[in-house]
Amino acid sequence: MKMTGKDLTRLKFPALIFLAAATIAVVLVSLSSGYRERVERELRTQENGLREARNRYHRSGDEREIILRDLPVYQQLQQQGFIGAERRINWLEGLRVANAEAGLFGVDYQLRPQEPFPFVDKSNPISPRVLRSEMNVSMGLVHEDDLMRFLHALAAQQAGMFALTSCILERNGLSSAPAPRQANLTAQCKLSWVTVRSEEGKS
Amino acid sequence: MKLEAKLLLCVSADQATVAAWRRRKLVECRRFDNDEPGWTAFSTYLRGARGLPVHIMVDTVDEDFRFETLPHARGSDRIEMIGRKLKQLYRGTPYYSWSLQERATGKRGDDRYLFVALTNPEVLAPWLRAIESNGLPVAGVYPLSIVSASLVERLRLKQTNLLIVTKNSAGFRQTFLKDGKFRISRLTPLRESGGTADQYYADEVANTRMYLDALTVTHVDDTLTAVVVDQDESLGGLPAAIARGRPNIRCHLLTKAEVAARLGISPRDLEASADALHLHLLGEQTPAFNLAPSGVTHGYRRHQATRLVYAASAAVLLGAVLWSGANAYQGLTLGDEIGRLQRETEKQQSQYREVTAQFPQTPTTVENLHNTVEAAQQIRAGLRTPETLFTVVSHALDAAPKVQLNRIEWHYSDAALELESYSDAAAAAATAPPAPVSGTPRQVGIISAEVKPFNGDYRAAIEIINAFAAQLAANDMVGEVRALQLPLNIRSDSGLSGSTATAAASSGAQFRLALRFRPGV
Repeated sequence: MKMTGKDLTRLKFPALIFLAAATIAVVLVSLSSGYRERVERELRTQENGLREARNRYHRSGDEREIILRDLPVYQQLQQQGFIGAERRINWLEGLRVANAEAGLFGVDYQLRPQEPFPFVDKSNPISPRVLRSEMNVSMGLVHEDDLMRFLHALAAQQAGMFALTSCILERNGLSSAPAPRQANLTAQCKLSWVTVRSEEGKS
Repeated sequence: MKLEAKLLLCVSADQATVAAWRRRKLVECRRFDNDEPGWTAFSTYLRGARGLPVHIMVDTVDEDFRFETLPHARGSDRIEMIGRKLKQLYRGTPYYSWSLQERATGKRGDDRYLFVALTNPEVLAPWLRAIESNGLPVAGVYPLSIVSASLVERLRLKQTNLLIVTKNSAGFRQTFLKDGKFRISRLTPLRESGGTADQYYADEVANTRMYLDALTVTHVDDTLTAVVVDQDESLGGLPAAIARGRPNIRCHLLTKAEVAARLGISPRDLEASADALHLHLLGEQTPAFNLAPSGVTHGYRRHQATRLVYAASAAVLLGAVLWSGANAYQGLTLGDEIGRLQRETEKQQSQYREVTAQFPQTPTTVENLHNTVEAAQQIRAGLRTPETLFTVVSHALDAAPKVQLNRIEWHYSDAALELESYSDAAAAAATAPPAPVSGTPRQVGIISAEVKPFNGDYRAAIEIINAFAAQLAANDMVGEVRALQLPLNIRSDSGLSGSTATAAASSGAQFRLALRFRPGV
């Protein structure tokens, strides 16, 4: 059919009606589809919630076992300062006591700001909350065994959980035979004080 | 589109009959004379029928039916050939049409066409003007005889030689069909002949029979079946009149009641007009022959396009409503399911609370408790001190008395780091070694020592160093030992300078070794 200007004019109103119908159709379909998708999402959430609730109920026996087994350890970790805010005063007190017990000439320390601790299994949900504060310590030693004595003494203080990451032991002077009652060696160690940040309002 | 309302118009030389067609029924047949008052009245009538398409049926003697045999052609060639033929045949009228009837069985395989035309277009002119002035679309112009032919199908008439006889407003119409196919049609204007009308019509039938024989469409011995459609009960005596003395014509009379019953038309409609029967047939089925030129039906095509757009709009809206309805229904159904799940979840949670109420109080959730303890255990399991390194180095030194230790580094760091990355450690002694990044850490030791005493014999010194390194590597816990620095760099890609005079200096032959422990140590 060859269309003339008159035909197009006559078809203008039907075309407008079609346009309006198409617009209404699109709005109707998108609104109703949005509603259905929202309900579907809600259903999936609810299904997951039910699954979780069921699993939780079925695992309640396991939970009881976990509580009986892990609660004492957890409480001990709390006491040691592994859980919650850092207890830096305890750490420094630990250094002081360990220095005295190992019979060293004094320990210099330098503590860095807190940062994430990398050596924890990422599959553990609390891994992002495991933090460390790196501490550089340096000390003079009469003999290399003094270093281990110091580290054991520090651990025995239970001032917190620390992980040693490096130690450098260097001879002072060129003499091959160590002299008594003087710092023949210098030790520089790096250790990380590890803590777990509390969950909001928990732990 | 059978349910579509339309206006049906039957035009003859003296008058026009019009009726609306709604819901498969004729509505109000009206007759208008073919004069100025009639046209005015018709125009007034049309004002009340705006938007309805008009189907026009013409019942006039000014018609032509012609069979032509033309060479076989297809597509545009055929259209072109037939166009030429139609123009040649019907110069004075734009109202014509054609239909391919059959293909000859001869070698040439020519095609046989039926050409139909309204030879006097003036018969339509005043009515078309009225229609056009009222803006009604014309769907088509059809010859009444072709509409008559549809009776064959409707009445299931299967006779070979069939003559359908009707009496309409325009006159006495005879339409002949051979094997169910239209052949010719004749209109005889009505004549007031008093009591001899039946005989007059019977003579007309006889004339038609002779004409058919003359055309060799029928043979004189063939039996012609005449079906007299007596819709107005005026032809009751005709069958007898026809049969009288004409043994080769068999006659069937269809009374008004039979017509009404077999065609589904109400007797009241049949009484309204002599053209009511054909108007009803036209309303029921649009004939194949449309004589109207495209200029006349342009408005109808526009009307159809408009309706199509409206139908598409309705379809789109309906589809959207159905789709939305389905979405809403699904949403509501899922909503019920969500309610059920919520109740079930609450039940499970309630049961869980009942069970866990008897558990010891915990400072945090069980998951957090367990994960925290697990993390602490993992960290503890990974704690290392330089003690192992010191032990390993101490054993190796026992076997190498000429090696004097100057410096020892212990790193517990990323396993992925290459030992070579510690080679600058001497220069960076005061700064930090490579920091642990991630993953499972491994213990690494960097030993800075010297062979003492050293008399300048590098070969001997290197042998001692190699023996020392081998002693370190012999330990099961050590995975790898590598020399970072030797007393003499003998590599070809670096320069070398010194003096044999200073070789026996008091300083020893210094070297650096790196060792990495096996995983898990």
